[in-house]
Amino acid sequence: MNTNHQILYDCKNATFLLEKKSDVRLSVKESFELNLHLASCSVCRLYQSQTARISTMIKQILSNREIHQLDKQFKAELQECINTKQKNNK
Amino acid sequence: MVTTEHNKLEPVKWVDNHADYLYRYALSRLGNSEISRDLVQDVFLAALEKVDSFEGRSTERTWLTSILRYKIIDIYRTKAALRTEVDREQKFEAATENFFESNGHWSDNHEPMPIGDETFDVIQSREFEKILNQCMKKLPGVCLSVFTMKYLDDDSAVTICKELNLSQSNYWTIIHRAKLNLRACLQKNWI
Repeated sequence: MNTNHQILYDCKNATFLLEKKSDVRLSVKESFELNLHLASCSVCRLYQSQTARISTMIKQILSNREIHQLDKQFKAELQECINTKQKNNK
Repeated sequence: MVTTEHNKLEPVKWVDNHADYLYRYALSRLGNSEISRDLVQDVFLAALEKVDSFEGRSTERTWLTSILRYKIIDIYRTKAALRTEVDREQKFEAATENFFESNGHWSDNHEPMPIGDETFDVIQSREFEKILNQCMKKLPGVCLSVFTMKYLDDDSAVTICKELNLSQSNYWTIIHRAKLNLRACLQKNWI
């Protein structure tokens, strides 16, 4: 069990919990640790606001730029290729 | 899409329905966009060859993914692609360790500082996005896959972990590391 003193120093744990909190409900213990830490650590409070905005921006970037998708031309050619091949198979 | 009896294959819709999914699946495991792209093509062509062996018990996507999985394992056997990605992940992991002292406190030169005036107004945000976009390109493949599924597809942590074969704690560690690095990269490149 972490002592309060350790919790106050553990920015790594606090920032980890901040990310976890964006996905799931934290346990009572985790929630306590995070709140205790944030109350006394202005650097992690800054991280908290920055990481939230970074999430919003990541979402924006991904939806604008289709980073993780194949490009349209490649897809069109690929479908064309599948169609031709399928016809030949029959 | 619920199918009660037999699932059918519709090759004329394969690219629209599955190409991006298969691409991300491959990319998250190989971290190489070119190899992943070629694999998607290979999968579709291989699938066409064995259309007759599809019995309709699984969905079209599951069937295609299983073909992809075999092809990825083949690549793992050649190891070159895998090694590059593992190297990248290890470097990334090591870099993140430097962010904190052994007691978990921020190390002096990695402490977050205000970026810009912290208002993130419209004009600033556009600049930030440009930088962040560059920063995102340096992330290992698995981080990008996680982000894409989380923020773009709105998949739950459970789904993401299942599809990418990650434990939940591993998943948050990946997000944590990715966020720490992106934040640092943004701070470093913001003038």
